[in-house]
Amino acid sequence: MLHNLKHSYSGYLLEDFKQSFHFTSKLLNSDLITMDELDETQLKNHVDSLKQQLKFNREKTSVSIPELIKWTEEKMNEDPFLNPDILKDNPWVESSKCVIT
Amino acid sequence: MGEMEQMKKEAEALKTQIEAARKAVHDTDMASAAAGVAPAPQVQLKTRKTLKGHLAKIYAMHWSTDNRLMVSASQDGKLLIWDSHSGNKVNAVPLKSSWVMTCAYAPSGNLVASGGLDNMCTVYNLKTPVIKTVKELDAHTGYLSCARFLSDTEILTSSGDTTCALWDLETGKQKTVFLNHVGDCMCLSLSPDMNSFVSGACDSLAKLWDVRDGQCKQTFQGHTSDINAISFIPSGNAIITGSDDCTCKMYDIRADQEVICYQDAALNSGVTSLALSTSGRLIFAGYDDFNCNIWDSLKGEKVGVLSGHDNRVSCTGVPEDGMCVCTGSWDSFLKIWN
Repeated sequence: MLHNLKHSYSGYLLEDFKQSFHFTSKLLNSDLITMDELDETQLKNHVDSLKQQLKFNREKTSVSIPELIKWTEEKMNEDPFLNPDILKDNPWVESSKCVIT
Repeated sequence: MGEMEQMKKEAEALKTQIEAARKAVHDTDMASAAAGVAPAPQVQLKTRKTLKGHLAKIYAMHWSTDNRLMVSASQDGKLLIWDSHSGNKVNAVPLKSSWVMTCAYAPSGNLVASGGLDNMCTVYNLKTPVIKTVKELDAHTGYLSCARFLSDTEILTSSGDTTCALWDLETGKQKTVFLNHVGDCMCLSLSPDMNSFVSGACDSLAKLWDVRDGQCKQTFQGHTSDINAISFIPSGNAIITGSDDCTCKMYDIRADQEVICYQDAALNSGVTSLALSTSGRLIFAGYDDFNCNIWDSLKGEKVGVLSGHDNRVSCTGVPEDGMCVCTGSWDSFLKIWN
């Protein structure tokens, strides 16, 4: 899979900086590393990692998603963007009382 | 068959098994599970403050845990510490390298950090009579894309060299190096309990890591381009990612898979940054098209837009108390909205 730096945000950042900075990182102008480019040790680590990741005990979405929803809904009352009462005391809006010091 | 070929085949087989394991637990999705949830109201925010002071593009900002101060980093070669209430600049930290890509505020408020194309993470003490550089963390072989303090003695970094690292700020050395990505690491987010973190990279993957043992626990796929922004939701059970593929996604950590995608046919700009409201219900996502779109995280609908910047929104941040959202832009301004 080719990684075209020029059309990515990181590409814009880097193009922006490139004008006066000499890159030393070999990765910046190259394609993504594919499995073909990993050496033997890296490939072995990659396989070992996948074995570990496979072992992860996955929860059913019918359990995890409703719990996620419940947690969010319970917190909405304390969310200043969703409970206008909280923003009645808005630090960025001057209150009607003016204090001359 | 050579050993390398054998291992590659094994890797492919394991990936297939992981996909099968995900499918096996996929007995509902967010759209179905949230069908009964009332949509979030349309969110219309006003710019309460425009912070003017940087002389060039802003690349990063980070709130202090006091909900008032914040640090911003610009190509003008400065970190500015702002009092967001008054709009005043409290401190200016000149940088050795103006090619800065990230900045961070320590939870204590004592330290800030910056880094970028110098491949280093520099840590500054704000509390000494004159701001001092306390450490230059120098071991990455690629640009520093993101840094986050765990405390005054530990910091996490992500780098264009495809690794992330946990540093000891007393010795200035890497304690743990996180190896698994095959593309530049662009962003990271610490879990609320600080035992794990997630990273997003140019390999279009997000990875969950154990801070202490250095292992990659889970890999989240689905994006088709670089992941530029990432954040845990406040409960710690899911993450939100933003990508150059113009979408944001929520990945459920416990189910180990994508559960909803935030996209719009009319949106064809990459996502540069994101931040969440305190309940996690709202996602503030900054895009290349100069806007920040507000998404209802449960229903997947756009519920608002923050328009006002004259260039790319490069960073967004919501303070811990959730009282506002800050956007920073290549137009050199920061805006506070609520």
